[in-house]
Amino acid sequence: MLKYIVKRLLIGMLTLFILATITFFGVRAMPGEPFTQDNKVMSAETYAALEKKYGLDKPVGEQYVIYLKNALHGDFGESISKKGQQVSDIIIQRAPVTAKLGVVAFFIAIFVGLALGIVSALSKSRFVNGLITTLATLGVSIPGFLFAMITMIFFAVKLGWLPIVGLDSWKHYILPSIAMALSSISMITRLSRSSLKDVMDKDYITLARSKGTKEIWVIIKHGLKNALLPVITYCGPMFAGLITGSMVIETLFTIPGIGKEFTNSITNRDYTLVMGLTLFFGAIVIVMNLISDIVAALVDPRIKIGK
Amino acid sequence: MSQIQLNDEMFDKLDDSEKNSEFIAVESKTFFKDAWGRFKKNKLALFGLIFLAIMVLGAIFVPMLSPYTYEGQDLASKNLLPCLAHPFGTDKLGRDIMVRVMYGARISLSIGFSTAVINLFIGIVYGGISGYLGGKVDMIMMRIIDVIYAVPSLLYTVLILMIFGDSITSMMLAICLTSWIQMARQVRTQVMSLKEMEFALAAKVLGASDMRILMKHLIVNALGPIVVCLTMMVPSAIFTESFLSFVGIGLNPSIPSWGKLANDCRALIFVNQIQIIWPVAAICLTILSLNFIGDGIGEALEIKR
Repeated sequence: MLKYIVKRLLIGMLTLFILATITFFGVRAMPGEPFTQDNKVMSAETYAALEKKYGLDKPVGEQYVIYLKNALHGDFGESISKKGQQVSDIIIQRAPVTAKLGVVAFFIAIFVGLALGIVSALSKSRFVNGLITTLATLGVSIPGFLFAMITMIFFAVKLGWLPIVGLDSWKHYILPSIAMALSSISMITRLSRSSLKDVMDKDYITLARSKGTKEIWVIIKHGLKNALLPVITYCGPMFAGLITGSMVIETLFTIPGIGKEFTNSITNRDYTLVMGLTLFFGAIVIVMNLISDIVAALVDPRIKIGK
Repeated sequence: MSQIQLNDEMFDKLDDSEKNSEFIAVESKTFFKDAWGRFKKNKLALFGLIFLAIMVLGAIFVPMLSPYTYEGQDLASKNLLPCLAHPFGTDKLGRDIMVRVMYGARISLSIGFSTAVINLFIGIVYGGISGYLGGKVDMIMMRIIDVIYAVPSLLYTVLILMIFGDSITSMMLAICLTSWIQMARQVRTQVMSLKEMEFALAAKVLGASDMRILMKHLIVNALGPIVVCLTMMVPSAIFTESFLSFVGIGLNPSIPSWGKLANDCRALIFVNQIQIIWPVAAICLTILSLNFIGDGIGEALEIKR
């Protein structure tokens, strides 16, 4: 088990290192200068001073080493478009907003997805099954941002029940978190439905029933426990989906989170911020993947032997 | 040893019903005819195919035949509701929405289909080599995939778009660079299991080259899952493009892709909701149709995914 974790950890660190390298050289290869915004004429001295300030006067190789060293300490440099603000400060300031929304979306996805999956796996009714399958298909096919826009029109503009800007009260969470969770709900419904269906046909379920166990315990203790594995492994990719989702949902609902910051930094060509946020997102997704894989391996020892 | 008693009753004439029992009533079907027959029975898949066909025809012909262009403004007739002259209505600058949506279909569909085709080639080459050679080569190639896959593909896509600008070509490139992985994995799994089959061994014994075995025998037999994977790639490319253009970090704003059209509508949610329907419906129904078609093909070819 320890060997497995160490191996995964090393691969994760390698991935992060490669991402950092790609980001660094990618940003260097981008057209346009970071300091020539607003078409202002800049004297040669100011330009040189600015280059010196951001370390751009050194050779690329040296810049790269310095960048990696600093990034290792969590120092991503100073934002270019927001003068005087450290990238790491921006992350610390904005990340909690996204995290709150993300956690709400995460739990909505897990609970609603599992509930729908369980109901459709156990229900014999063709109507219920058809309805849930249709919902799951729609959920996968309708992009979250369009769903968000449609629900905005209905519940906020037409009916006026829910607010659409910001993230102040619990009411503000409803629309964005559901839109963010939409595709994950559908995926979890599909995953848990098919795995629970498989499990419920197994011999040990029949055995548990024949021993007189109450049906509800058969489902929870013997069925669900064994059917959860695909859902656990899905949690890693789900975080990736939530993070990319936050970019558009936060822009749409004007939520001052890290996803909105990322899209803004791209529009502003704020290279240091783009680099810092890319690394931050990458690191989070890698860590979440790692956690979900480790949990899956803990739950089901067959996994690490299989790999 | 007892002898069998033969008598006349045992030599009765066959009646007609028994004579015809071996008769083949239906013309024998090829594999693809059979699959098409099953595909046709799937109503959703058929609906998807029809909708997609309409969309493709509309994308080709509507901008050609319509009297309006996608950027032609007519301030005298702005924000019109759907009417005879403008079936989808007009937007705030008096541009015909139908032409704009169909022009967007050109962009979104061509991005979707061309990235899928490019991915097909990269995937077959990469996955084929990795699966066929196996061993160390396979391990290294798979580790490379793991490393790329570990990070949300959107991050790479955004980086590439920033480096190469916001043209349609760089959007295709950006989507391709990350989405070929799925195809490569699919091809690899198929090749790995197929190369153990006897027909692969037979080809090898007959002296076929590795290249020939891979392309003529293994890939051809893996076509079913590959086609399903291919159909599923088109909607995800369309999704990525519309997602990025919707947030305003995708294609150049002058290009009326579906994402951009939906983005235009964002400002209108308080004023003019009817205009929002068209791009939203176009994106959702196209992605839905393609998913149905993919599922239908998978079912018709009896592929378990």
